This record gives sequence, structure tokens and C-alpha cells, in this order.
Amino acid sequence: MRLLLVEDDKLLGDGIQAGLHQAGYAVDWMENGEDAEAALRTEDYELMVLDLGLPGRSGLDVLKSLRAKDNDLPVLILTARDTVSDRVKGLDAGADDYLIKPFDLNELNARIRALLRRHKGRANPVIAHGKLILDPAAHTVTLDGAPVSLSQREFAILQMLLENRGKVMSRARLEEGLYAWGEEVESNAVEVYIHHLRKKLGSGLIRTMRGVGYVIDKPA
Amino acid sequence: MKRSIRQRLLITLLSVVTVSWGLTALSGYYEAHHEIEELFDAQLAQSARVLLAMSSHELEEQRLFGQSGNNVITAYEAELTAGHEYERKLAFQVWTEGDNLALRSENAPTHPLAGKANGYSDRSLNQARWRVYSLTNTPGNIRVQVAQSLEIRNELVEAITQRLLIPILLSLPVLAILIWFGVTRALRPLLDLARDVAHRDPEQLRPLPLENIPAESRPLVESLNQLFDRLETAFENERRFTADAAHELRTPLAALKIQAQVAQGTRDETARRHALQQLVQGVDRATHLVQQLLTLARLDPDAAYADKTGVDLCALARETLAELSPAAREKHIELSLNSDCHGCFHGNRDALAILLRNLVENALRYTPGNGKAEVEVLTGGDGSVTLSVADSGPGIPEEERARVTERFYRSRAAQQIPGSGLGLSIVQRIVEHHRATLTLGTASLGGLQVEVRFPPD
Repeated sequence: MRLLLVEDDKLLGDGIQAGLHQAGYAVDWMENGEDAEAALRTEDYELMVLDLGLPGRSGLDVLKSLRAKDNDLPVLILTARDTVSDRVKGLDAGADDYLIKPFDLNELNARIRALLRRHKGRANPVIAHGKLILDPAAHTVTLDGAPVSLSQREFAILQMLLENRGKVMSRARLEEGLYAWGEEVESNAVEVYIHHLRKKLGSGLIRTMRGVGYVIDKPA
Repeated sequence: MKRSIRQRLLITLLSVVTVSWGLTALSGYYEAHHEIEELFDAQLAQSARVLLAMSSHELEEQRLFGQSGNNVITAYEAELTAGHEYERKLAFQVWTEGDNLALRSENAPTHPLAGKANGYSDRSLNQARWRVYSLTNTPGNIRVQVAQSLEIRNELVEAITQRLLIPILLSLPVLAILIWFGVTRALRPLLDLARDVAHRDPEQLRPLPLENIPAESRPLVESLNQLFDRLETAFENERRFTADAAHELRTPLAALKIQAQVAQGTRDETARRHALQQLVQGVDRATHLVQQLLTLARLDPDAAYADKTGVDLCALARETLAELSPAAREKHIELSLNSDCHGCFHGNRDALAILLRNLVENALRYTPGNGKAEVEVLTGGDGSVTLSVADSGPGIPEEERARVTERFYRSRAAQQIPGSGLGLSIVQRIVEHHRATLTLGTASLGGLQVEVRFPPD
């Protein structure tokens, strides 16, 4: 799952990127509003973490222009200003949630999960598909109650397919969700991860649409 | 509390009206008194003259017909009982041949009402004051004295004055009510203004409208508007300061916390090492911030340091450059000093060292690698010393130059580079302490030129 992080402070940006990477997201990190808008134009993101105190084009401007284009990308804002009016301004400009600096990495992760879940129209924090249960918060997968050990990228691919059940996900799309900018994409990686997933979860779960991509069908 | 304007106006207007009406009544009283006096005196004289003429005629007849003088009295006695109520206040005596009382009114005494001299005089008779007029005929054998009670005159004057005063006294309360309403009406714009101000919330300091404002309260409204304007600016500065301070203080803490949590949570050894390295860097940054804050606090305008000594700014600049040259070499920045070595003046050595360090560090921090930074100390002909620090960095846009000395304000161009946002505030404080002037401009090297001019001792 690919996220956009916009933060001008180098140490903080580096930390958030590392923390989100740990949680299994591919994270593109931009240091100013102009670069963020360029990235939003060219890439598909699941969510944006946006610092309001940016140099140049402010976070609020980025947010407003995003919403003006009818883009419903979930946006979590980070702000150092803790007055009610500042928070109200941020939420009114179209933010879905906010965190005040300094914040806890676990809370940031939990809020991101909640935003993604709501954006997909799910209220339940775990994704259940027949006997298969995926818990994004705990980063665990169980099949028939028994835990299944998955690598971070295997987990990410399974989550993407489960969240888009019934939709065919192209190889490129899956790759995008796995790798942030600047990360080296291994060739055939997606095929390898799918192969592992089939071995661990049974071959009937993920269907290959030749020349198009992969899909997990909606339960009948 | 002072009396309200309404009360004051009411009291003033009523007193003025009362006094002026009172004066009118008083002058009316005296006028009436005087006129009545003249009128009655004339009447008195006229009565005397008539009486004298009649008495002379009677006496002449008596003399011709040989009657005795006593008969005159009896002949008139019956007619001398009072007719009109005011008549009782009149008395008269007719004296013949000197001391012979030929005729008198019923209420007149038997002794003379007044002396023998002709004219007016005031006498007391039966515990009352009388006005007497004496008149003697030309041969000198008949003297007539007519007296009138003064009471009658006073009664008349009082009656006239009363008629004058009663309407005044009756109309005073009516006037008070009218003034009250009039003043209330006139004060309405002021009350409206007060309501407008009272209903404002402190966030909204828009100016009060000047239309419909009476000329008298216009200066007040204009002063209020000026005050609102100043308050708005002060609030805006305060808001900006808290926002900037929050950003500069909280962001390093957020970075520390996140990096620590990343180090805690990762199973990857390289990632952990990287996070810990970042954490150490973050602590260094926070330390710098705290140091700058403490420096600024020590330079507080209240905590003025008086210990100024002779300082050689050239020597101080050499020391600072020597200290910072490793940092310059690391970034491949050419750091140079140009001085005429006469930069001696009275100042605080420690503070000036901080000033130099902050300016040179700024130049090194914001100038990209392979750039240039120049420090210059020059003595002017008037004995002033000018310190200039110029660099080939990005500079500060002109519109931001006024604000960069504000605490925690960081130029938009500089925000990518870590810093506390306090360096130039510190410089500004030290400059103020030395009564020097700080000028920010564009250097010939392309970047920022900071010029500090110390006035002659």
C-alpha cells in the first residue's frame, strides 16, 4: 500500500518514513508542497500524511487544491499548532484526521489504518474472507484459526487483493504498492510473492487473469 | 463612579434655568417695588394736595362766616369711617395755625404724624410702618399730613412677585422631565456605540463605523479604532509567535520520538542503526535550540549587562573565524576576513562574540558547498565600526527581512536547513544593547549581507 508523506523536517520525515515502512507501507516522502502536488498528479496513493507547516506552498494550500479537484484521498495532517481554531481550520480544509506534534508512531499507524479502513467502507478492523482472516493492525493472517507466517511484502499483496476483492489488480499496480520511489524493484517479484501466497494459503484463493493480473473473487 | 453625563447635563441645565429665572424674578420684584413706591408716593402727594385745597377753602369760609374751627371736625366726622379696605391704611391730619389739629381721620393719632417740614418721611405708628407726606399752604397757616401704611405696598409687591414665581416653580419639574428625555435622545448614538463595542468578541477587531457618529464622539471612535488596529497587530504578532514557536519547538521533539520508536520497533539492524544515528543528530539539534533559547534569555532587555570593556572587534573576528574554519573547510566554503585592525570600541566582549558566531555560523549554514563567506571589520572616519558578514547563499527575500529577527521566524527559503529560528533574534538583541544598527541586504557575492554599525564611543 503506497502512502505519500509530506514533511519538511529532515529528521522527522526520515523517522516517519522508516516507521511507516516498518508497518508495511511503501512511502514516498516529499519535502515541500510543490513536490507533493507533482507526486499527487503522477502517482496513485492510498493516503497522504501532510505536515501543515511547510515552506513555500503550505500544507493547507495543498489540501485545499486537492479537495478542489474532488480527490477523496484520505489525508492525515500533522501540525505543531494545538489551538482548536487551527485544528478546525485543518479539518474544514478537507483533512480526515490530525495529529499534534510530537505524536506516537503507534498512534500514527492506528489512525492511518482507521482512515484506510473507513475509506474502503469497512467498519471491521479485520478483513475476513471465508476461513481466512487478515488483521492489518496486528499484521497477522490466520487460516482456519491457525496462524500463517507471511513476509512483509507477501502480507502487503494479500491485503491489497483482499481489499479490492472482485477487482483485477495488475502486476504494475501491485508493484507500485510494494515499492516506494527509489526502491529497487526486483524482477518477477510479484509472481514470486503470489507463488508463495498460493503455497501457504492454497492455490484456489488467488486467480490469475492471464495478461491482466490477479484477483481474489468476492465470496459467493 | 462619576455622575453620568445625563445627570450632569440635567443638574447644570436645571441650575442655570433656576438661577436665571430667579434673577428675573428678583429684578421683577425690585422693579415692581420701585414702580409701586413711585405710584403710591404720587398718590399720597396728590391726596395731600386735594386735602390742603379743600381745607383752605373750608377755613376761608369759616373765617368769612365767623364759625369756630372745632366745627370743621364735627362736620366731617360722620364721613370719615372707612369705605374701601385699602382706605383703612390711609390716615390724615389737618393742622391750622401751627398746632391746632383741625381735622383728622379716625385712625390718625392726635399728635403730629410727622415733623413740620414738607415732604416724605417714614414713621412708626401702632407697631406699623407708615409713609407720611406733609404739605403746607403758601400762607403757612394750614399743614396737611397724609400717611399711608407701608404694609399695603409690601402686600402688592408680594402679590406681583408671587404671580411671577408660581409659573416658574410649577414649570421646573416639567422642564426637568423634558431635559431628561432630550438628553437621553441626544445620548442614543453613544449608547448604540457602547452596545456595539460590548457585543464584540476579542477575535474581531474590525474598526467601528464612523457614519452616524455625532461630531463630539468622533475623536473617541477614531481613537478606539486606532487602538483596535494596534491590538489586532499585537494579537497577530502573538499568534504568529506562538505558531512559529510551537513549530520550532515541537518538530524536533516529534522527530526524536519517532526515531526512537523506529529504533525500538525494527528488527532490521541497519534500520535500527540509522534511526539511532538520526536520534543522536536530533538530540544535537535540540541541544542547539536550548542553547540559543538560553542565550536569548540571558540577553533579555531587563537583564542588561553593564560590564562593557574595550573590545577589539578585529581580534574577536579572527578568533571566531579560527574557531569556525573547520566547519567551513568541511563544506568547502571559502571563509575570509578583511579588517583594517582598528575596530576597537566599548562593548560587551561575550555578547559580541555570540553576535559574531551567530552571523558567521548562519553564513556557513545557509551557503551551499563550494561557496564563499566574507567577514569585514572597517572603521569609519567618525570612529564608528562596521561589521559586515556576506555570503553566496540564497539570501533572504526583501519582504521577509523585517521579520527574520522575530523569535522563531524562519525564512521560507531557509526552512529546509535545520536551525532554531533564534540566531538573528539574538543578534538583534546584542545590536540593541550596543545601540548599533542592523541592516540586512544583498551581498555582492549574491547571498545575504548582514551589516552591524556600532556608533562611535
